[in-house]
Amino acid sequence: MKRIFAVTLSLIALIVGLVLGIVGFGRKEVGEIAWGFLVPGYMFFAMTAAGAALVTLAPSLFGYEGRDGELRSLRKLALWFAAGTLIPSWFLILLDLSNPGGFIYIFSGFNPDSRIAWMAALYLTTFVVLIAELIYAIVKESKEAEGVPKKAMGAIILTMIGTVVELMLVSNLSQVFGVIQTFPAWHGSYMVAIFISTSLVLGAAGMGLFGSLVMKGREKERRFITSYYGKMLIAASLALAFLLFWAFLSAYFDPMAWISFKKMLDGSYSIAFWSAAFIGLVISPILAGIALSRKSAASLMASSALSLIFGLTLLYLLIIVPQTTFFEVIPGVVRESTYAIGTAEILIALGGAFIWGALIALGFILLPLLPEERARKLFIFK
Amino acid sequence: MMVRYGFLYDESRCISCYACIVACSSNNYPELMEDPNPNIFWGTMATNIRIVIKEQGRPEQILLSCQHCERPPCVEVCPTGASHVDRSNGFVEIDYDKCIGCKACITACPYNARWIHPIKLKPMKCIGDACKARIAKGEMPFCVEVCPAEARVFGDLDDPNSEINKRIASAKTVKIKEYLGTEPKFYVVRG
Amino acid sequence: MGDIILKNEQEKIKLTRRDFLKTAAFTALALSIPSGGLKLLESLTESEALSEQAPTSAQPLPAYIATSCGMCGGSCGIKVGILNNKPVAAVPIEGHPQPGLCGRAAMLPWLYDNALRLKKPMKRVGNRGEGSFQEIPWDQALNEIASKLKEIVSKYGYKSIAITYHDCWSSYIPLFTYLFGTPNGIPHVSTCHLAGSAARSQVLGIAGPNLVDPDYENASYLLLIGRSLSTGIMGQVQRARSNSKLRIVVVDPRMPEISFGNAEWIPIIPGTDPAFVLSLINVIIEEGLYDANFLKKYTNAPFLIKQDGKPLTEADVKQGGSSTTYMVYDSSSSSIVPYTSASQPDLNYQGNVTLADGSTASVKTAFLLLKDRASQYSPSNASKITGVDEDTIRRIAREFALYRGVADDTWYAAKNGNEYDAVKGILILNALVGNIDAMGGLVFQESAGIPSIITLVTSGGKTYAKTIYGASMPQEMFADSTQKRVDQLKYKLTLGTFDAVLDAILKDDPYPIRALFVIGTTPILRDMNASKVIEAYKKLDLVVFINVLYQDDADYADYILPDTTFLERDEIFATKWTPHAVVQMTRKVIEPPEDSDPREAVWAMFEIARRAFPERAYALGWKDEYADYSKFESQFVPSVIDAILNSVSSKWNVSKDRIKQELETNGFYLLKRKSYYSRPYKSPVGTPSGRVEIYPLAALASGLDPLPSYSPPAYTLPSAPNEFYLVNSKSPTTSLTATILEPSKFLEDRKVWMNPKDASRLGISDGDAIEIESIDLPGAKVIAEVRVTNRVREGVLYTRAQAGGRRAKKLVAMRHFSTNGVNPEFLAKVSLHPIIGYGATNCSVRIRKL
Repeated sequence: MKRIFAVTLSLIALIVGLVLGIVGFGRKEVGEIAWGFLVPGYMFFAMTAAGAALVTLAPSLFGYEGRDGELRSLRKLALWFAAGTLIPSWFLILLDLSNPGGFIYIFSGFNPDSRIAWMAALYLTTFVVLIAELIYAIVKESKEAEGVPKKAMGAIILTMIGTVVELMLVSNLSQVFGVIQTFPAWHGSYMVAIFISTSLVLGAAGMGLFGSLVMKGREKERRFITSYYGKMLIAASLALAFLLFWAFLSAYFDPMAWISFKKMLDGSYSIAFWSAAFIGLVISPILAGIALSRKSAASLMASSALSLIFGLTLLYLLIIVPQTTFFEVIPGVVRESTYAIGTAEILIALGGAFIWGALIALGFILLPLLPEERARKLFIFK
Repeated sequence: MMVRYGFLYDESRCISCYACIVACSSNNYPELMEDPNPNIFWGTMATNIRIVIKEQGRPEQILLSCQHCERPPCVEVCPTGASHVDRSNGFVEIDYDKCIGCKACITACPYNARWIHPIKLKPMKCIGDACKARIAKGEMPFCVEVCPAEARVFGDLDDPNSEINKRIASAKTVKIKEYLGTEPKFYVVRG
Repeated sequence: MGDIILKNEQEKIKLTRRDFLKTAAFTALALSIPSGGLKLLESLTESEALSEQAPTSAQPLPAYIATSCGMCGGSCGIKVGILNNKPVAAVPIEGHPQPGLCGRAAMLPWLYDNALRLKKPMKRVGNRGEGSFQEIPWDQALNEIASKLKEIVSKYGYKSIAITYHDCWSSYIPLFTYLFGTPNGIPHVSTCHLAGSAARSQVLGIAGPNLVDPDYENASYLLLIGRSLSTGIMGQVQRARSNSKLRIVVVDPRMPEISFGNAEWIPIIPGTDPAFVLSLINVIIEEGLYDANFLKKYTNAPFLIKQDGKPLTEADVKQGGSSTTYMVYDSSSSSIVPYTSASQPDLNYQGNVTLADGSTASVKTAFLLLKDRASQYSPSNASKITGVDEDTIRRIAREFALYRGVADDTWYAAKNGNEYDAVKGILILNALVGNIDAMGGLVFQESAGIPSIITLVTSGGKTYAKTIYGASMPQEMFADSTQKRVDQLKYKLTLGTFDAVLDAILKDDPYPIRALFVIGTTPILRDMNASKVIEAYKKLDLVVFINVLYQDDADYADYILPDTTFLERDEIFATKWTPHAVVQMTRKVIEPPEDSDPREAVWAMFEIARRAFPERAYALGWKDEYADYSKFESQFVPSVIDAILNSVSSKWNVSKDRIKQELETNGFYLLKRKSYYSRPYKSPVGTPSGRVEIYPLAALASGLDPLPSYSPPAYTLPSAPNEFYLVNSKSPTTSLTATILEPSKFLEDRKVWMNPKDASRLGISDGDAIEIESIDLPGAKVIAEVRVTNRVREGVLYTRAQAGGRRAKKLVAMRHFSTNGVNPEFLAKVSLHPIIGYGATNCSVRIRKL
């Protein structure tokens, strides 16, 4: 009964999400810049998804799966979290298009020069691999007794493929912007590194939050999650902090890129930037440190939530701010634009969030994602 | 017949009357004539020509439109191949049936030569349909036809006797942001 | 390309794209596509893309008709493209002597069925200024206006009716004055070309700004002082730009648009043009760079002038001599002889002459007087006045003389109140280098000989006012019409000073005016001190506003009558801005929009007259059947055109049909190409001496100083750090019509320009709002945004005229952008030249950052 209620609730959320998206789609307007909030929005989901899979699964390639295989037991959870997070990402980007149905032309008229065309391909591939990994894990484990799942060669191979495509996904995403010479602040070699480390921060934070939530009442798992994702979060945040510093430093010597970066440091976007940097790169790692030392899941959840907010804000600034400065065809003339998130974008993003929540919940309700759960119906369902 | 059309804009002759801009707008985008905000992206009219003014130093102005690059960044980033170079005439064109409206071309254009249609939400650019119809009849595109200052020339760059090649041969022309490797076909005589 | 990832073609699913989209949300769809199936999708979508392709020939092309543009008063030759019963495009007429096209003309597709268009007659329902109107039938409007007019005339007489106008219908205005029995048909010129026209008629014997112009296509050096060239007639621009050897120098406090291209800009302190010109004259004379031969033979430079300033005439030296035979010193005979018989007139003679009455007079040549005058404006002195450095003045003077330059005689120049002296100096400058009516010089227009619509003829001892289409009004009916106008009673040389009408309305000075027709013009954006205009509107008994669009002045009208646009009527006239003799046409290219019922102002005026003063209307050829507008269009209008064609045909000895045919196909007919070196070489110019008068005797006769001099502008000069000159001009997209059409929102610059140095001094940045208060009209304040730009001189603010600061209620609601910016007429005080009657639309202001 409780389960039916939960499923119904999730389906309602899913429908609400779709409706919000469709309503938002109908209200889209032209702004002064081409790529508005939905672009960082979709990047947020995509990078969280890739990051969650990377931080949880990639260590197994190097033989680390937790002292008692704890990490292995989080595999299904992470795979579903990643797959379920990719979907709102498409939702946002498709609704950002004026002709979403036409996305199939990306495949029919595939332009190998286009990073966006590759993004489409990589999304599909990543999703397929994630689902394959998940199904493999569920199906394989269904033959095992309850408890921590066993190691499996097939899982390692799939994880290898998955890790590569996820890294490709994030790297290529950075190059959607990195190849564009119009905005010098994007056209930098640091984009790949920043995107990958941001993705790791988001993935660790997403799993830290989601994992802690679903493992409520399971002290052992929670302690592992707190310790593992807490460490990941600290490491990835510090790496990102350094890379951001490096990006700003490089930009300082590039007068054109510097105009955009300077807007974040002391211009119109500085409040957003410094607040985000403070909570994401100072407060969040400190909270994660507290979580580690006190084994406090609550601390980790707070840290994770702050890092997610930070990641979204950082992506927003990295995508939006450079677009507000255009270096004119007459040297020395700079054209400034302004941007504010529109109603349509808020509706679509909100729709994406509903869908996200609904999908993650549905998966959790219907799929055997917890370590001891096994498929009972139709090969993969609980 | 294969031709390779190019444009020349003579900054030294332009007197900023904007006839080209207005004619481009009413002829290529009649549906937006009464729209109070037809081109928010550029903050101007529904037109393929953008006004670029330098107010400092010695003031300068370029009326800029699509450069019809030989190696256009907009075509490079287009995921569906909707933006393409039509090799029969040299124009950078958009196949709107294939265009999904991802706006990558808009961000990729280092000239900011594309704008967004407020109803279709798709990128717009030179050359407009009305001008193409004129060219097909052997007439000049509107911006060239209406210019009172002889500041605009249009023609086949492969034809050594074309008016545009004569002007290129006789005046000191530059191509804008050529260092980006875009190989523009829009020549500018600096004023 | 797709092959890179789409390797396998395993499944074949029959799906159309529509089914495909219908059956699956895209998320689910993406899920369901195995990579092998993508190849299939590729073929699927590609075939569909092909079938969706529209045939390329589908784009319909407009049909073009040759006519004339009426978006401003320029009347350039354009072809209007009609498609689906709408004017959709305008292109220039190739080969036309005055071809279009500018931003204004390109906006004509917006004009035709614009929401601001006056479609039906309207009657005021609220107070004046409230802008509340109700539509009424034509009959009611005409009857009510007529009865009101009758009432006014019975109280105050015919001359209490005034008509003000601009270019539109200007050829019919004389007819209207006879129709209503008033002399007061008063144009816009006091804030436009009046100063220049006064100077031109005195120096060159010809008034109108278009009757003499630089020969742009053959000139080698064009000096533009108080003229930007880019503002108006594009045919002139085209001629100048097609002349690759032409160097252009613009002297202006703000950089005109033409200086974006090849045209040197010399920023000058506003209102100091006369000093600059006099300094050029000084350098040219001192350095001997003038054309002595031309001065001697074709100008009055060698005329001997007495100490009282009057010329020495034959009557002075010989009993019974002619008082119009001017004397010169002939160096070949070493004697003082009539100018017509001197073989070597001396330019530099000064001495004493024994007069007929035995007294002695000391005389000096006009040239020496000019030289003396100019010597007060040495480059170092002039530099202090004008802010242009000495070297630049010297360089421009030398270049001008060496290139045998031509200085433009100006047009829309009433800015500082001293333009009369500036233009006089400019004309003298052209004469100094001998560049009058020479190829590449300042040339006289060949007259097309279009007859006036109404003229006075005497037959059998009686005078009649006779129209070209054959009607005539007896003298007893037009006694008032031939009296002096209110403005001419005050300003001896004026061609139109509307402020005099305001005084007649407000103060009954010199007599009351109680009814005003405002035809195709907008005094609130035209005349200095717009508040005074509004005050006058409020006092009038009858205000009739006739126009195409709703303009600011409409708010104060009792009746608004919708006029036809230039797209909806036929007119024939001489091409204005060309040196050649050309006749051209405005043609009805389309019927007015379906929901509208505009009528030509000519029809409305006649119909009002027919109801108020029927005998006057009938005397001028009006018939009852013309009340039917279609009869007016099919009979009256063709009769006028026919009469003009007949006259042109007989004058030029060309068949009427041929002219007609060419007008229909090309929009113009070239009657005579410019023949150079005609006036003053072969025939006299219209001055008292028949020569170009560098010392204009007509000025002397009117009590004016014949020589140019510099006096400061008519407004208080700015002195405090936050005080500025406020100068104004139009742009190539400015006209009263164009600035309230939709494109103007994006094309017209309604910001107030400020130099970066001033801006940084006052802590003002681009886009800041400032309050601008007139120094001479305390309390007159406006708010505007600042554009910080090097296109304006330090100490000077610049605004567009007739573009911003619109206040009509309807414009506030429908064209809010037009309310931005400044209408400089609200800030400029009325200061009129006492004899010529022209004003100054520039002013000085105090600013405050908001």
